[in-house]
Amino acid sequence: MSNRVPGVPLLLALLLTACGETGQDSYPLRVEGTGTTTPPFVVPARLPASCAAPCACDAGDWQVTLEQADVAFGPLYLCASERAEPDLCPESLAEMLEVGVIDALDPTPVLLGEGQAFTGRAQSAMWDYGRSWLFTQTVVRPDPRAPGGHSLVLRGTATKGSTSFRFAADVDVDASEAGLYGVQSAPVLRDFAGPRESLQVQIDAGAWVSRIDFDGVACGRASDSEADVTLTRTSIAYNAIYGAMTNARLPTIVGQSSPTP
Amino acid sequence: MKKTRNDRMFARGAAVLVVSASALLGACGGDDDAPAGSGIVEVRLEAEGSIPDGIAAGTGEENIVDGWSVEYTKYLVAIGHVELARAATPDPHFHSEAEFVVDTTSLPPTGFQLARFENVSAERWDEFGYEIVAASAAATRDPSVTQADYDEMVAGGLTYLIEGTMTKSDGESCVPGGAACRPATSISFRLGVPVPTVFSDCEAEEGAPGVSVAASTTTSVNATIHGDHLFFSAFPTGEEALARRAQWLANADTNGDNAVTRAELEAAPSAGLFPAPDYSLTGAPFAIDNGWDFVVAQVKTQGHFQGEGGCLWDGMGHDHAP
Repeated sequence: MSNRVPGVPLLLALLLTACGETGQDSYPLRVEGTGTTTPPFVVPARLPASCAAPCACDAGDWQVTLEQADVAFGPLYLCASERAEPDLCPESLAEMLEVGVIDALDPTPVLLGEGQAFTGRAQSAMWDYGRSWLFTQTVVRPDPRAPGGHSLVLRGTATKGSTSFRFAADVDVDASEAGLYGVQSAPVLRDFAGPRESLQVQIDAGAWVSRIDFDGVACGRASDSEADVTLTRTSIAYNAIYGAMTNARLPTIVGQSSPTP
Repeated sequence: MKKTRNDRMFARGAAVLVVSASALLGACGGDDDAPAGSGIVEVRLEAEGSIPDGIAAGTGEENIVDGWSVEYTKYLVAIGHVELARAATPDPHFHSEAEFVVDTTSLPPTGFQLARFENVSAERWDEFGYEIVAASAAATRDPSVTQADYDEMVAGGLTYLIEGTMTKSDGESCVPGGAACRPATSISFRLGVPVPTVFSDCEAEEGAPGVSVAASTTTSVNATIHGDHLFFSAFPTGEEALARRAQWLANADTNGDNAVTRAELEAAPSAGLFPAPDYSLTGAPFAIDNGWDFVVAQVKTQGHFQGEGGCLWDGMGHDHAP
């Protein structure tokens, strides 16, 4: 399966034109998403280097509650190579080309899309979070299903002692250039053995939010009474989430097999 | 340089005499597929120009684009375990147990010999590799390395000891989330990095794997250490565009003494040091939670082959535009 080909996925084209020539059949692959976040949760205090008024640099951890954590996920490619990146994985072992939305606060699995897979061992994966940059495009294009055009819509409340504020982040994970992916070379180990298999993408938004320095966010407010904080894309907090989504706290991709009927 | 006697040919499950006899029979026409003749392979350590010459500020592909220039005063590496083999015929193969600690800022123009293999059959040996090793007492100290530095590397099991200075006439250090930026025109760093790595399946830049040996000649190949990975803005595996940036290192000077240490880097969250989109951490070999993680991850990938040729590191692919 070739990546970054506009129009009909190459896998489908290969099936139509060369069925049987490779001696290897593909089979449908169901891809689901689910949230594994367990709010409320505690984020340890991490006082900034300098903390002056009007900062609230009290001792103690932050209690964080998430009200919304909608994640756009897809397309997804799994590769036989140990590092999934277009140059090392020009053809994927399994793929799902659609984009779905995962409510990271809801453990109910949702269908993200129907893909295709060959038998074999996948060792790495690459994917977008609902915003892709194809070779034929001059800019990143959000999928219509991405919430508000974003990779992540995050809303929550952080509280420590008498300090409490709501925070909001609309995070866009974009490839660094056309033809690349928002996440590359993610480690995955999955043996695809045949039909009746599916994948489940599990997202723990709490792991992302736990990297935020909420003391720094509190210090950055215009005043102690500011109750609504937007984590803008130039903020350290936004970058903490971005780094978690693309490197430090990647979603877990697990395989599932249905019993033989 | 002390000449080692560790370079030898392995032949698993077969006596050297038998192998030699077989080779002799092959040379006499007993086997139409046997290669004709043999040669010598010398493996040398060389440093990319960024190490002895530094990295200049500028707008070119290989410049540091945020205005900092870098000069290295020491770039010590512990290296050895050169391996030469053929995928189709695992035996015999060549392996050197020798390990060395060398300062790559002062290598001779012809490089530093890591291994010498003799009686190598004249054909392509498509599997070439070497290791960046944790320094130990078994490693030979090159005179370019002081005893004190050698002892430090052995005590810490270090693979690299990197010392240098970055300068910028209007430079600043801006500690993320801290006070306002302060002027900082010169910042030094000394980084002892323990990151043992196996480099294997090395290919020249044009894609030819391993070493092609010609009969009755000495073929020289190089293990090349690059010195600019610390300043990569991403973790490339292909030909994607890549910038070199150094401001993150200046921003890690949290105590304002114009010297960055491992402790400061460990205490500096990556979210503040590496803002997107100037930096991209996707594809890193592990989670980058702080500045030290970034140093280790980038330094891990800097072993190359024949200049810009690439090798798998710990079995994983890595390549990038020069």
